Amino acid sequence: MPIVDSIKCQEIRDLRKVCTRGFLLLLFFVALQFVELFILPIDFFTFRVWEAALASPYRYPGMFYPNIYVKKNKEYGDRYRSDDPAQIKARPVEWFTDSYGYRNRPEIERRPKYDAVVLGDSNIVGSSLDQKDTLTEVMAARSNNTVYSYSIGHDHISLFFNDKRVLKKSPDLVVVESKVGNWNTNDSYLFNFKEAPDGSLEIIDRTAEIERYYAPNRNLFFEKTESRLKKQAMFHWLQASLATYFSIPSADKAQLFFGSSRAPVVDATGWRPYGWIVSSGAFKPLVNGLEPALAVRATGPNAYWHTERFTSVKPDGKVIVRFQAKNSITPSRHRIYIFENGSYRSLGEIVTGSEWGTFEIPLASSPGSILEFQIDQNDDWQWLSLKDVEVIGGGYPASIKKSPISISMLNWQGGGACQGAIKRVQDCREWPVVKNGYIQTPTLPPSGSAGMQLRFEARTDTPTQNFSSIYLFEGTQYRKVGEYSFDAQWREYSLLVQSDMKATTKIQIDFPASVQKLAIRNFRVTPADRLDK
Amino acid sequence: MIFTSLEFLIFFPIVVAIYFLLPNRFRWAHLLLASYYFYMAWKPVYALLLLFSTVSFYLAALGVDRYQDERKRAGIFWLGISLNLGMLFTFKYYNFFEAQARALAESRGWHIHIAPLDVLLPMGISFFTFQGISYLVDVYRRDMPAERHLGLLMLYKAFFPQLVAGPIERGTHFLPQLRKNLLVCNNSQRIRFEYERVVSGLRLMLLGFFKKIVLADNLSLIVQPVYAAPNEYSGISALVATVAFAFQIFFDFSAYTDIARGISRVLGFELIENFKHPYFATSVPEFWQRWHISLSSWFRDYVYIPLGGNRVVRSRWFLNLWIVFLLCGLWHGANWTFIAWGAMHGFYYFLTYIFTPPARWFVAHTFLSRFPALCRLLLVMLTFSLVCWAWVMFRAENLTLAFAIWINIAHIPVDIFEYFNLVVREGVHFAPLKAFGLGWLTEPAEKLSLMPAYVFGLTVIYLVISHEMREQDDGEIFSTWSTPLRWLLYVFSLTSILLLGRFEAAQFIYFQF
Repeated sequence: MPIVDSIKCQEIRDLRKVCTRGFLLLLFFVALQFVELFILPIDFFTFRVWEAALASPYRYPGMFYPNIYVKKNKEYGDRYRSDDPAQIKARPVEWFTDSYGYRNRPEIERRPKYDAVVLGDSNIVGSSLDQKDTLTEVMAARSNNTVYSYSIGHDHISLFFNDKRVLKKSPDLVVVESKVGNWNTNDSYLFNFKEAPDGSLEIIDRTAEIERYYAPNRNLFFEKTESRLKKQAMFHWLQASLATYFSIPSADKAQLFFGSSRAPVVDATGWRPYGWIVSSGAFKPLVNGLEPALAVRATGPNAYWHTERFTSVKPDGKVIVRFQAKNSITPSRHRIYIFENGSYRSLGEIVTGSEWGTFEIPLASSPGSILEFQIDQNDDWQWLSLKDVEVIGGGYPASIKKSPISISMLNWQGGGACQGAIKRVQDCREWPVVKNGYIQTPTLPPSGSAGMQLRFEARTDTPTQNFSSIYLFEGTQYRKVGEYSFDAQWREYSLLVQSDMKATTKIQIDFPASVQKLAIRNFRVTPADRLDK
Repeated sequence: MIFTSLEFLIFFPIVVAIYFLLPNRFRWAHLLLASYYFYMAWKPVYALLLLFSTVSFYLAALGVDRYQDERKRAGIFWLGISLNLGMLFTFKYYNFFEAQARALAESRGWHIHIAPLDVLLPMGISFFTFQGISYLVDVYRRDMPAERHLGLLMLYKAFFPQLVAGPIERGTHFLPQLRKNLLVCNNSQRIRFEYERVVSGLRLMLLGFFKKIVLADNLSLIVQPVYAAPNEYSGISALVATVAFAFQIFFDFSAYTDIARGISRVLGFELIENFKHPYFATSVPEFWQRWHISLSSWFRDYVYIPLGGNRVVRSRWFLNLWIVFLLCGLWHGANWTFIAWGAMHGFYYFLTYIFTPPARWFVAHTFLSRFPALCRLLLVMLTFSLVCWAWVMFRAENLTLAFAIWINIAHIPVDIFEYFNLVVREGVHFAPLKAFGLGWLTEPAEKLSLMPAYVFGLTVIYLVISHEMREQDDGEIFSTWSTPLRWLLYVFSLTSILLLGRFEAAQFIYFQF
């Protein structure tokens, strides 16, 4: 028996030791909690006074702890955790609440009468505003009246009309905040009313609730402590300050796709936008890609690739934009847009991977609308490659039914001495390329009401990664209408330019860099008229 | 019930308190009830499977023990094995083989209709079945007598700390502990509440919770999106996710083992060590001596050696290895990815055999012989790379996704070349995180997150500490430090769990096996 007793004693000692040390470990966290709740200021671990003062889940009947005064030298806005420094706006604020948990200076309660009471939500409470800047204080200062803030949220109307404490202050004016989102787009304010048998609305009776709020035996200290314990301000402040927030990036990217990624239908060749625009970006041609074939990289904000104008040739206005795309290094998202008669709308995003993918974007437009298609490219560290861009059911917004007019290859200007042999006037001419040099057509025939379509064949002596700019001269004015990357093989290029019918027009083609020779042949112009709707 | 759940936080102290308050003769019943309650908290009806498995092994072992006639013994033995493997096959593999058979038939134009089973995989079925098989084999081999106390055998099979994810305890190791500690008549010889043992167990549990809640669950956030849609992430993302998975599965599984061993130690039992710093292995065979030791030793003792082990002709030896690893893969799950993972490890063994002699010769005849530490480091890195390469197959949901990950990773040199080409030749601003598709690691929700950095840092710290203390049990990390440092570590671990923990996270990975 003595041995058993001794063992038991030892066990009890060991148990006590484990419990004591476990308690000590726990005590560290309990002590932190104690300091947070009872020693440090209420807003010590909050970025905004709103979070510090909010009395959730209790009401007093206002939504904040009663009788608090907080002066915060730096209150951060809602976007504090954002990376963008412009969103981090710190300002000093002062907060008062009255003994009922509303955002008023306590002395206002001693006034025998409220001239005005304002009912509303956080706009009226003045989230992120200094006390003197709240609507009620501004109203009071300007009108020299007593204005009481009765702002708690959407159910303030029924609470107010059941609250004898405020009603006995005989307010002359009751202001109810009404804004889109409260009355118009949801029915949250209707919670204040109940439908009478005759269909009219009556304010619901909340006297029992009000009596509960004003019950003399309420343990406000306990409620406040419990509320603050539930908030765990220090814990959340630490998590936010240490930037521990991390969520799984959306894996459900299928919703972001617009269109489908599948092999193209070989026999459904569509209209190809040979003319296009790259904005804020660098670009280079893709060798062996079906035109238009280029890679685009952002060099500034809002970079994009944009087609020339087209229209649906179908009576219902529907087209499908199809193209192949890939990124050079990593997959990324690109927003896509359609411009319809100058107004644009987002079509969503495509996610281009590091392998070629075919994208099909179905579009519905009003018949006859002028359309332009745009792909954003915000990556400056990699190329977005596009090729084989075509619009199924699309076409130039012009009628090009006239016969093409061949332009003689004689009398072209610029480019030095021609080296190409000419058998016929439309045959090839070859120019030695000089730096910053160009060649220019003779004056072209008059264009139609929708401009003119240019078609020509071109080649360089060696494949190049560089583009040639195409300019349209109208009298003394000129503008860039496209860029081409010429190949070492003869290939045909096509471009619709909207030109001034009255002006004399010429086309200028800049020499590409890094090649020795540029040859052009079969240069034709077809006047285009506006497409009949 | 999951160790990281609130229910367990209530369950564990109650079970321990009652355990130490009870007289010794009731303790086995108490632990048995607690274990079945633990299992039934998940899906009560599946406790019947556990019961069926236990009773069948109990009766088979008694039969094997009773008869001297080898034919009778073998008959009873195989009956017991067949019953349990049949149950395992039905619940775990039937649908897989049914789908393969159907696909094969359809490819040949045959139309057969085999109905798939609409059953949920019972949690831990592979673990408790293999535990039972090891017991029956040991009795059959006369390595141990059959356990006649049904309650004790039930407890051996259902002991809640290791019920659903191991370690796979051997009867020869665990049953004597149960018998010695729970069936002693003298109350003075019972398991006592001893400070050193209990605290050591609690330390192991704390380490396990830290590994699971802070490290494994956060690493899973990096792994999950990439493996769900590998084509939407860069090659370096795929590589990061794969390395993250290597550590996730290690922390997740070793955390379970730590918690299981910790609970057992508090209760007065020692479970076998399941991990011995596996990522410090210098070869794949060594990796398997350090990784999931209870399973690898199970396959060694009950499959590999009976097949002849390495005491056969070389071709047969390779075949034995492949059989073992294919079965090991299949044990993890009814999916081609697991089978391929096992096959890869079998292939690694083959490669190790082929390349070890020339590598040794090369080291001996070059400057490397003067730098053994460097050689070791290179071997550790090579082994880790091979293991990671195989983890891709283990983690991917199907073969297509696994190949997509591999292709992504193989594309990394091209990505890097292309990017540096842009930086050098075109003056693009150097922003590697973005360029290599890792931007999502820091700002997944338009907010800067340092969580991956914390997890990475803590993983490195853990590896450094565990490398320094590689000869010791993981739980001893705490005990060898001075008291203030130890307490600081307790506070740090608990604070990290609170601040970085993901309490909504999923269960342990190995529950599915």
